[in-house]
Amino acid sequence: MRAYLAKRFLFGVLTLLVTSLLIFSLLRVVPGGPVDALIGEEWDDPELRAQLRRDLGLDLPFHRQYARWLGGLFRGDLGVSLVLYRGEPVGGIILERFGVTAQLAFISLTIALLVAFPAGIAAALWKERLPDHVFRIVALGGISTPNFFLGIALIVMFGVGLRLKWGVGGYVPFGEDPWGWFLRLLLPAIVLGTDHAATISRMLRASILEALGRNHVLTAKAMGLPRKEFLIQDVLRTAMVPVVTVIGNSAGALLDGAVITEILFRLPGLGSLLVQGVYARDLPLVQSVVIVAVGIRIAVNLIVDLSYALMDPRIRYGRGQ
Amino acid sequence: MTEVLLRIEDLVTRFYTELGVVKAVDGNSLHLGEGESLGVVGESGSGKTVTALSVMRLIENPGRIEGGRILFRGEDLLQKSERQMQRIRGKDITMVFQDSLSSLNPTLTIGEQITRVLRFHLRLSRRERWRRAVELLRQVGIPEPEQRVKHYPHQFSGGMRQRALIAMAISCSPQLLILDEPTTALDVTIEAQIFELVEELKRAFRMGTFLITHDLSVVATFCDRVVIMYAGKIVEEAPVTALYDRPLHPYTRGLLGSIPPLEGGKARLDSIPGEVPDLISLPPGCNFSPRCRLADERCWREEPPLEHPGPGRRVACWKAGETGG
Ligand SMILES: Nc1ncnc2c1ncn2[C@@H]1O[C@H](COP(=O)(O)OP(=O)(O)O)[C@@H](O)[C@H]1O
Ligand code: SF4
Ligand SMILES: [Mg+2]
Repeated sequence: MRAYLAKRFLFGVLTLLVTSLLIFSLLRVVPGGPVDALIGEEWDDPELRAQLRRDLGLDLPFHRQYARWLGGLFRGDLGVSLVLYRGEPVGGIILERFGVTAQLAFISLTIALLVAFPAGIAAALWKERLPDHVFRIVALGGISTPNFFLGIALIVMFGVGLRLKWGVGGYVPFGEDPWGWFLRLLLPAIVLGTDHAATISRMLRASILEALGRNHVLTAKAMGLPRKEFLIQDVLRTAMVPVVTVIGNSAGALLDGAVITEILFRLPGLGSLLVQGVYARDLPLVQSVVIVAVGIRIAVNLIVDLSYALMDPRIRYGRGQ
Repeated sequence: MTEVLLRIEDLVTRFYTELGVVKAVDGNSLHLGEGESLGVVGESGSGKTVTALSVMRLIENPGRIEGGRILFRGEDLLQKSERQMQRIRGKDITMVFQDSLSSLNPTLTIGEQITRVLRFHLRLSRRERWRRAVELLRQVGIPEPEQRVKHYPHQFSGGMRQRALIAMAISCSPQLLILDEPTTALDVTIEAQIFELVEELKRAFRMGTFLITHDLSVVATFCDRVVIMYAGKIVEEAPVTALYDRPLHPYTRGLLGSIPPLEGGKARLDSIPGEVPDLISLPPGCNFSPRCRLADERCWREEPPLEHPGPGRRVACWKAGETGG
């Protein structure tokens, strides 16, 4: 178990290193750096440009720049925003913005799970009957509707049509107005969560059906255990193992999906920060946002592996004797 | 003469599949006395497991028990409610399945799996249940039961797992233990040990055992009587010694012919040419006729009735006892 987690952790760190190099190189290749953004492409003063490049450390060779950034990361210093928040440390900005994204992802996942579990269980227990067909069609619809379309549709419906204040997006901190906070996050959370609700419920259905056919369920019945007991302990419990992986993947993917949704609903999250940073060509900001996002994703995967191990004793205690 | 523990009368169990109606058990009758050991033998697909699951009332869609009676100590199990059956399963009648690894829940410890059976059937405190689980493991010959009770199935060897499964099955002192090919996945030495154990337990608890196998050599050492099934029907029944001395049905003779010499491994059934017929479209006449060396006009036309050629014996064959060719 310990060796297993140590291995996972090592892989995580390695992935992070590789992606950091990738991000860094990619951002150096694209034309138009922060210097252009700061003084404008038209302003043709080579002297000033050179001065700025030196000040920002952009004149150093590639590997020195990379080493500087990486060294900063290890010390917890994510650099300083050049354009968007001139001079402010990126770490603080990310922290603030990430809070909003995390709240959105949390509500979204909660809703997805609240829908997916009853739907998946019902679809499995009433396989090929009405509930199964209904949920299959709804799930297919949920997966095949693009998020931006669903988002616009909801805004048109609630914001424009019903003229609800919370129907057009925006953000209110929880501390100021808890109910308003929830309502404003509700629509984007639904938009973000439909795909995942659909995938999780379908996965759960398949997993339960597979578990229902297992021999130990038959043993449980042959021992006279009541339906409730073996459905929970023998079917759901063993069916959960693969489902947890899917849920973990969803949690990670919610952060990716947040970009479009946050812009659509005008939420000041990590996704919209990234887009703003790209437009402003704020190099240090963008590279740090991306690396933090990747780091979060890897951390989520690590947590999934951990819970997987906790749930399946075959992993927890190793195989055989 | 012992009391009759189980009496199956004209049992019919069918599966309504998309391809057609599978006549898995086709009007069979048999009985089992208290403390007696009955062997049920036949090639795979002959309806042995379905017979046992019918007794447990565990036939599920698309299967249905369509006729007959299953009398357990005189009461018809087919008339019981699901609730009543839950109280009988695991307490009065239990069943051990073939593959011990998949038959145990991988996410619960052996102790948790045994104690939950005790919890539903007996009035014991939590501590008493755990003490009893350890005692049961000791009884079935698992070393260091105090430690083993906390282990998960995958931490046991195949033979030890099967012992643990048997411990669970006997945990509430059942009167009838059904063993469905309990040693198929195990090697010969472990197999012998498991049967020794069951023999011991059988004597200690006066348990009736219903042993399903396709291995006649196992039956010889373990059972009192044998029922031979072919394509959903009982084709022969006899006390073990009589069956070995003078098999009456050509199919039984084929099975006996496939027992390897003493020093050999497990018996294989592939020495009878041909295959078990499709239970959806059975041949006219005798089910065995397509594979029978003695088959003639009448066998292809008319089904032989189950007759009583001697005390405790039954056979369904027009040419019972003839050896031919
Ligand atoms: N759930 C089921 N659905 C359809 N057919 C089944 C089902 N269970 C068993 N059968 C059929 O019933 C017949 C007898 O099966 P079984 O009792 O398992 O044979 P045995 O135990 O003798 O090997 C087989 O033809 C099998 O295909
Ligand atoms: S009835 Fe005929 S075909 Fe059937 S087993 Fe006897 S001899 Fe063979
Ligand atoms: Mg079978």
